[in-house]
Amino acid sequence: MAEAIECTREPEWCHWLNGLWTFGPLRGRPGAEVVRVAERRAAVHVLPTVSEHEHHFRALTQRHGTFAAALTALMIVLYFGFVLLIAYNKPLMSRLITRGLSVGILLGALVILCSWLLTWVYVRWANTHYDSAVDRLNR
Amino acid sequence: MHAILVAALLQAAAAPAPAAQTRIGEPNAVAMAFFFVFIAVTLGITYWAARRTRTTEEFYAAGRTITAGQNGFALAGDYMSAASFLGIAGLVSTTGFDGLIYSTGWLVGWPVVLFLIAEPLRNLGKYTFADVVAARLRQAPVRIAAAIGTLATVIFYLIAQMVGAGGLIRLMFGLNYETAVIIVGAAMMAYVIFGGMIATTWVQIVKAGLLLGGAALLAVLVLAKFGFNPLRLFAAAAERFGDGVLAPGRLVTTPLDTISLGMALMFGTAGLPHILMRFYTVPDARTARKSVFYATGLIGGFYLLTFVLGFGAMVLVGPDTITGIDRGGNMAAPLLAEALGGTPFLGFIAAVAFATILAVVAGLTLSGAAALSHDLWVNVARAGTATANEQLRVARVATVVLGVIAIILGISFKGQNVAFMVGLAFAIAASANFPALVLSIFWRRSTTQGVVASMLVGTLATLSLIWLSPTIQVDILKAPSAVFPLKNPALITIPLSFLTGIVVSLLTSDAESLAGYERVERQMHLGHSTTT
Repeated sequence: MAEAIECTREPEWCHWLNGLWTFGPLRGRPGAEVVRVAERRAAVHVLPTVSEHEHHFRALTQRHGTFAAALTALMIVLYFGFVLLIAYNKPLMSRLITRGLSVGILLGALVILCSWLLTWVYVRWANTHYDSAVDRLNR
Repeated sequence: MHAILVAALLQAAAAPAPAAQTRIGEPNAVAMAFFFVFIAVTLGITYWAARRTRTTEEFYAAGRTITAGQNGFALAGDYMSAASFLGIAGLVSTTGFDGLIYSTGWLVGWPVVLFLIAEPLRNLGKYTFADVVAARLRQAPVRIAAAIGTLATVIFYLIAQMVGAGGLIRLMFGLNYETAVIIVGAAMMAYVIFGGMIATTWVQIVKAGLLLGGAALLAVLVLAKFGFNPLRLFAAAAERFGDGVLAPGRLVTTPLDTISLGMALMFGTAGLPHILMRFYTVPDARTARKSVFYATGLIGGFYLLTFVLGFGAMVLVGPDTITGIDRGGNMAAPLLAEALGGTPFLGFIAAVAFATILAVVAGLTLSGAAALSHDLWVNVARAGTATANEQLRVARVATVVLGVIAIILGISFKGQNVAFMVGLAFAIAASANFPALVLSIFWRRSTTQGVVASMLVGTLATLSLIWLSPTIQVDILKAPSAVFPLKNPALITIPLSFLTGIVVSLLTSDAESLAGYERVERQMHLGHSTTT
């Protein structure tokens, strides 16, 4: 696991930064976030007065926020990348890959496939990691 | 979209199209039969639903018993309007590739809905999206501003659907325009008043099934002629009409317009009141999440199908024949159905298109009625003290009011070019509703003043920039040029609305909002706000 930055006074950007190298649908195993929080607490003694529950909840909101924001940004980049290519690089989009298939049509179909893929990634991540963390907090 | 289409037509292929005999515009027995079966089935559903609609929760949120799969279909049903079915197929059939810009734009809003909005909405709200915005802000100002954004979105969307319905029905069934508008209005009011959200949801599900089934069948018939290989279809189109049909064309001469439209489509979806309301019909946030996954799959598949249908119509019917029937190209899919399956299939597709309009209109009216009754009457005028009976009565009166307004507007805009109103509805949703949701859900520091200012500025800026745009000034008022250069204002109004919300929030302070954030955050993730 990558080291966490010390978040002694919980500025939001610091947690956000920490979230950056801990997010990912494939990296976290079930319960990983709890381990990470425990490790971080052991390592830097963040706010020892706050309850265990509160810490787990903070970790949850951070990870969810980072993950959702990263996926949204990716979707925006993909779609507007497509639109900008249409707007500013027509020759590329018009190039034929094979009979009946231009780069533009291929990329358009890929944008649709990527939308599906990203929703699948999010739902999969949420169903396994996010839900179990919520359940632990609600127990 | 009409205006763009007409421009695009100027470059439409010069190759002669096969002269086709069409029965479009003549009373069609098959269409009538399908149409009456649809009306009978949906009224049957309404009767069944009416007996299950006793509480406000049942009226607005179908008792929160809809499953993920059902809601996926209902979301798709609410979203796949006649504009996207007939419009995109028509656009592709006359311009080729350019239609794909719309298809992708209409889909990419869904992942955003999933990542940012669906789950918080389900956990924080009750019936309308204003519930979420008002969760920690002051009720009255927030709800009034949210109702303005909702009603503006709903009314413009409704006008576009009603005028489209009148024109479509006249073209396909030979019915008189006013009669058609009144039939749509009356059937829609019956669904909503008696059956509430339960009836509306099932009407959407039936319609989504019919539309997807019809489009899939049509696509299979088209592809069968090309060895089930879409590339052979595209190649046939390129052979007849030039490689230009596979490349960006005249529709995108102004890059900023393309980007602006893309922004309205992408972020507007996450601010459409009738879509957001669907997330309250499921039991919990997890179901809401899964339902968006299904909806995205269905809608994406549908847009891929319309792309095939468009190219099919281009090759098998021909752009000249299509625009000869309707200058906007909207009859491409019905004409294709006629070419492949004769009059009976034309009748079926015509009835499906009509069912599509009817269902979308019902969903829109219900969300507008919820804003009038739940937000304005119950939470502002009566400060949350109305009894359940009173709430239901007001919701039904609001439905009648909106239904009558929709019919009157539909008739008074007869013959007008209102296609831009769908774009306008998306622009308002993206600039007024979406920023308010994001700011109030994710930003601790947002204040009542900030969020209200953002909603009002978003709505007003969108309305005024549309008024000053070439869409109104040049296309409708025939002025030589327009003050504001973009056809869709989203490129300016979305950032403006966010900026207004952020600046005003930073300039004001709202202790209640700040203190309430932790509770809202818990509610949003855990589904309840009790701390341990």
